[in-house]
Amino acid sequence: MTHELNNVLGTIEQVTGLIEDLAETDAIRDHGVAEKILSVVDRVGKQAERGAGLIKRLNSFAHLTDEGETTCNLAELLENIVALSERKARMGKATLVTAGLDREIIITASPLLVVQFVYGAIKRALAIADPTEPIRISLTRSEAGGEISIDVRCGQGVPEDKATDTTAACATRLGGRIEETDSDGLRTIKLVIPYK
Amino acid sequence: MSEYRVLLVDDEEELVATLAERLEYRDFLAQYAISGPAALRMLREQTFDVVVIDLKLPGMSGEELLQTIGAAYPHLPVLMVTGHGSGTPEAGEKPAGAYDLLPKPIDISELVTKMTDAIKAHGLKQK
Repeated sequence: MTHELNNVLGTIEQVTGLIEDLAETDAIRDHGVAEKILSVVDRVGKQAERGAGLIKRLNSFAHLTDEGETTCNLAELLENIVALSERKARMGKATLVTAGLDREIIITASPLLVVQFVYGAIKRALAIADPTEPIRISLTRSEAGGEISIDVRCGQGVPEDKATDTTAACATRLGGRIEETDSDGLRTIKLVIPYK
Repeated sequence: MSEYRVLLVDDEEELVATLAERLEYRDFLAQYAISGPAALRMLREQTFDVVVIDLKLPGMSGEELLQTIGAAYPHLPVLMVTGHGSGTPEAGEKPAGAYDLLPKPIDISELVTKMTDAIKAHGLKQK
């Protein structure tokens, strides 16, 4: 995330530099240049908005350790976790597609533990994924709790080991569970996080 | 007026497009690519005097691209750019084969100087 933020700030720096370059040209009074400047300023604004969004997510992530168990919306947590995972996915040429994040699913749990649990599963999916197909992450409500399904088409030569000890330990501490099933090369990693 | 041809490679399109535009105001003919494979395609189709590559690229990394260019175009100087401040442990040493390693955010004046120096140094080597 800090790499992304660095890019945003770097872009803002270059774009404002471009404004200075334009301002120094003899053509400043030309109507075309004035329009160009306005378009450049708009680009600065969009990057600044992007930066503000990233900082908000970073702050939200940084404050995860502030409280132990607390009431939180699993959909919001999952949205942040997916945002955290996106650059890692892009570096491996994978894409993440989400569904069900518009619903509210309230749980009482340690947000940090939930992040560790879910991020560990997404990392696992990224490690085994065929990059030509998107990884689908969906959130639903069940009797047992909030259910996160990660569907991933396995790439060639995928190792057979299943969930890591860390992810399994998080599941135990949350009182939840993790299941992995295979069907025709499609691996489904299902995480269940109880409401309380 | 230099009119040196530069190829910039960075997956952050807004950043690299703006940098290219600023270099045009400084008499460089600047083009950009947002991935290693796209950069290699452009190198096959056009002639450049210097290449500037971000160390962190998705898919084919900046270092892999540097090595590929070094093998295919040994006459072409390459500058690398890193998001970690140079001199920090994370930035590491200048990769083998690179003319220099520059930190982000890029200082346009420093970039112009380094590119010009690299082109001239490689030109001297050719003689």
